[in-house]
Amino acid sequence: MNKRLCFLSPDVAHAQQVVEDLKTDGIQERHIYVIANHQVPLEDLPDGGPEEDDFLPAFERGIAFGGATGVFLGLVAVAFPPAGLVIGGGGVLLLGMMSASLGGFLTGMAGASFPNSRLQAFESDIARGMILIMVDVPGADVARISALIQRQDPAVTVEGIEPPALLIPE
Amino acid sequence: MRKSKAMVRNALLLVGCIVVFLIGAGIIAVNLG
Repeated sequence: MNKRLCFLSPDVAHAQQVVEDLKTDGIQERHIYVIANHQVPLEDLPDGGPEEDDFLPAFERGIAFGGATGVFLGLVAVAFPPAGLVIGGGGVLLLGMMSASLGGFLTGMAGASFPNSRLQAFESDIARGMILIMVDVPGADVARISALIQRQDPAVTVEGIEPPALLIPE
Repeated sequence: MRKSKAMVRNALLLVGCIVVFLIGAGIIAVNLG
């Protein structure tokens, strides 16, 4: 299981040095994400980063809540059948699936217009001109990579956040 | 994951949702009709 390490780099030169170290250590560039505000020139750093909007977390919540609501409604409909309707287990499943898809669609669309809630903690630092670097490392390597990052600048604090998108594989 | 890839995935998920919903609606319509 990969773990995502996050840390803030004070300037571009430091960020470049750390990214270079990580690449030398065998971490592929596609596992490194760099996010900065628009004033900071990223030059050849791997930009793009993970999703900048809140689509996926909102989508997952929508699927979960929508599905739960649909199954609940289906069970209620089975327990208290409306006049003239016979609903079996298939109806519960169908309502659950339909509600999950509707919930996922609506909340996903809504979430796409919000900035990523996972990055909120770093928002003010990024606005001040710091550079957020995220790197996905195998769980066993977390301590070693953290030490590698701090070798450049011991003041840097490395935080881990959960790997994204557990429900939907990337 | 790069941004363009993420957008394609998001779009596919949304389309998938619509398809599942429409299939469900179709089944209900056939059963009620």
